[in-house]
Amino acid sequence: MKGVIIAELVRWIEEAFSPAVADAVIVRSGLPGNGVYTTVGNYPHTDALAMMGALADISRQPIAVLADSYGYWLASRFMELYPEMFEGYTDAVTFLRDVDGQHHREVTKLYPDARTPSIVVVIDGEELTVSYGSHRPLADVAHGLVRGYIDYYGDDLEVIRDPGSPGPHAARFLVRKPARVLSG
Amino acid sequence: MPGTPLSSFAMPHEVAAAIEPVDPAAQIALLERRLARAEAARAAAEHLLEQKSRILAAANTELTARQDKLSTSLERRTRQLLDAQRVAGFGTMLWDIKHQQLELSPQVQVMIGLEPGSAVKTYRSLVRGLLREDRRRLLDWMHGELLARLERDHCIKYDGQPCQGSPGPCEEALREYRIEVRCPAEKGGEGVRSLRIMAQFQVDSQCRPAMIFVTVQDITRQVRADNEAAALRARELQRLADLERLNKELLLAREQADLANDAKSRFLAMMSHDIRTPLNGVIGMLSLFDESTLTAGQRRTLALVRSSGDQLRVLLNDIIDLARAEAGKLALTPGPTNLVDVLTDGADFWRHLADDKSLSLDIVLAPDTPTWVEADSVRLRQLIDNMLSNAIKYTSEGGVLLKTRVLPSGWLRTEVIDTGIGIPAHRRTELFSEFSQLNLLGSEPGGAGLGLAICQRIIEVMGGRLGVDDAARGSCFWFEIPVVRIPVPKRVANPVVRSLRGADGRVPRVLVAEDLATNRIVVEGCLRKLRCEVHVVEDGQQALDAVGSGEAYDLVLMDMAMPVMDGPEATRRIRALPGELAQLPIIALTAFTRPEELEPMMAAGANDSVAKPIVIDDLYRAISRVLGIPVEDDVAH
Repeated sequence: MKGVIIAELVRWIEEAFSPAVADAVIVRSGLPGNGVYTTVGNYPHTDALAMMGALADISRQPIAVLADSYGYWLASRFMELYPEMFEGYTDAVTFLRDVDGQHHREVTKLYPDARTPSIVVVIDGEELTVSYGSHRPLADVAHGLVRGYIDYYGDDLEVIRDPGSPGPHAARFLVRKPARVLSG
Repeated sequence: MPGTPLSSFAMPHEVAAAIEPVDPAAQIALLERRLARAEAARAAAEHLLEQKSRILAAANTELTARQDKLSTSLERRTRQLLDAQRVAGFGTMLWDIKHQQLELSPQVQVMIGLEPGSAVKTYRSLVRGLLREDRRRLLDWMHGELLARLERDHCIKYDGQPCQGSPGPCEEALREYRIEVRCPAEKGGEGVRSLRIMAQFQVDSQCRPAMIFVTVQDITRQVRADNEAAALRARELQRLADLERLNKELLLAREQADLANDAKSRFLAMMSHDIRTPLNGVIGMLSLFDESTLTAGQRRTLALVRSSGDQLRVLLNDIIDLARAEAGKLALTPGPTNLVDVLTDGADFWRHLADDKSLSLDIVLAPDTPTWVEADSVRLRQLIDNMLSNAIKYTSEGGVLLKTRVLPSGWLRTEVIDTGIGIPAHRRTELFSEFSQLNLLGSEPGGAGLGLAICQRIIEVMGGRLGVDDAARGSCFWFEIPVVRIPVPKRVANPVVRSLRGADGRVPRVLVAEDLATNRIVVEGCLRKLRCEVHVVEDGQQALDAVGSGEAYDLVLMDMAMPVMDGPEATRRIRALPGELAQLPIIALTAFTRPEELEPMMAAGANDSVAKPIVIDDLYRAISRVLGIPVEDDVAH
């Protein structure tokens, strides 16, 4: 796993909870590197899973909720860290369409050993289906990322996770305009 | 869960109390741990960055080397491409639509008369390089085709729907635009260079035109070759038209010639008929003279008149034969032929003439000479007669020798060798031309010059060869013909004829239908010489009446052209009579000799024909054939 994902996870815990919680999570996880991560390094994704597990124990929140929140937060961090990646895009749908074809391609150019998840986007009329697949069980993080991009661009869209999705390694998200419910 | 704000997580109070440091020492300890992690991370990052820097430096060195290599390669390939363009008379242009930049290969500049490397900012500079009359055309093409496409800004599929550029360029993006224009071959010169311009749009991912790629090809040679080919084709078409016209003229000329030839043939037939009829009378009447009652002077006169009549008959026959040969209608009538008899009879016939000139006339037949062959005896005899008469005519002393032998090929070679004046080699080809008289020194004038020409035609029909060689003295005329040997026929008698008798010993009763009195007398005389019983009538109707009268006739000799009722009609009516009368043998008696002229009589039911002037032997043979009476020789009786 790229260092940016796990280093930003520590940062998010510090911001969302507190530096003491982050410290406790690191200590509790018993990580071999003792929580020392740089954005330019590579680390086992099990470190991130261990920290998520420890955080869930400490905070008494479900891992899925925590991972989704982290993904949502990470979207805005990516925009801060890599603004050139978002240049020229004015809406989330177009950006999402190019994630696998362009952005992941750029990542593999820079890091030939990187194993990026596969993102397949299908546009059907006004609906967009984003299918996530990875050897890492981070479908919840992906969900949060999708939501984060949509909110960033201010698009009036909702993201519905397909309940039939097989598990944390794969998920399908339906992105569409929210249904209007007229009351009274 | 979706939309969960960042700061919405609230820790349970007891958990937070247990984790958050309260006393300063614990806070300091937390800070020290965080600091230690941060420093460790920084050190790790620096280490990693140092590693990466080294990798990057190495990569940079490698990339620089690779770039240098690529630059060199690119330069070489560019040079090769430009050389190839120069050699092929081919150039390229690239028009960047977005930045409005035109990029030309040097060869394009050379082709349109610009200095290589000179700055060309817009396409108008290119247009100015063309012939004046082609400039407007090129501009119209550009505005009408290329710019119209640019203004539309989006592709239109062939089905008329806008193209979204997905999944790839549509058909229109692949379309080629082309035009051919001309420019001066060199500045101030009169030569013209022809260029073929082809353009294709290069589109972006939305299928919007981004660039126009243009190739310019020098097709001067091709255009020249096409023009020359077109000119050549036009000339060939003209030549073909001329040939067709000539062919039509030739066909017309041939039709006219055929018509003229037919007219000539008809004329000859009519003339021969008109000449034969009185000649028949003359010769026939002469044969009826009883010489025993004449004085010696009268006999000499009679002999001269007979000789003249015979010459006239031969000449007439020769002319008719020649006309037949020219019309391709000279046909053979092969049958069992006693070759030895034909040769000896021919020699015997001319012997008195040789005797008159004190010439010897000898026959030498090789032992293998066949006696019986399948051949046209009349034509064979004609050949022998011609050659012998010529040999005797042109020989004043010595003699004539008739020789035969069989060649290894099985063909029969017959030679007539004389001791006459001979024929110079350079004049031999004239011998076989019609109406050719060599008039050699010492030769006697005479004849129409038709004999050898006719012999030549007869030999051609027989499939043989005819020629003349030098002899020890004089000439050697020869012919070679294929012969088919046959066994001795069973019932053939001596052809010397004198009378006819049926099996019962009774002489035949013959009805003669002939309108001309002279002919009637001749035919009657001939028949009486053959000791036939004769009844003469003057036309077809009388013949029909006579046959139907109950009088028993064995045979009818029927003239063709007669008043009241002609021969064919009378024949048809006799054949329509009841009973045995319809079977009565009928011989056509006519001066018409061509097969198609005889056809009406034969079609009407005649059994045979005899040509006039009547040769008594021919008449005899025909009657024998028709009545099935064996030939008898009074001499033998």
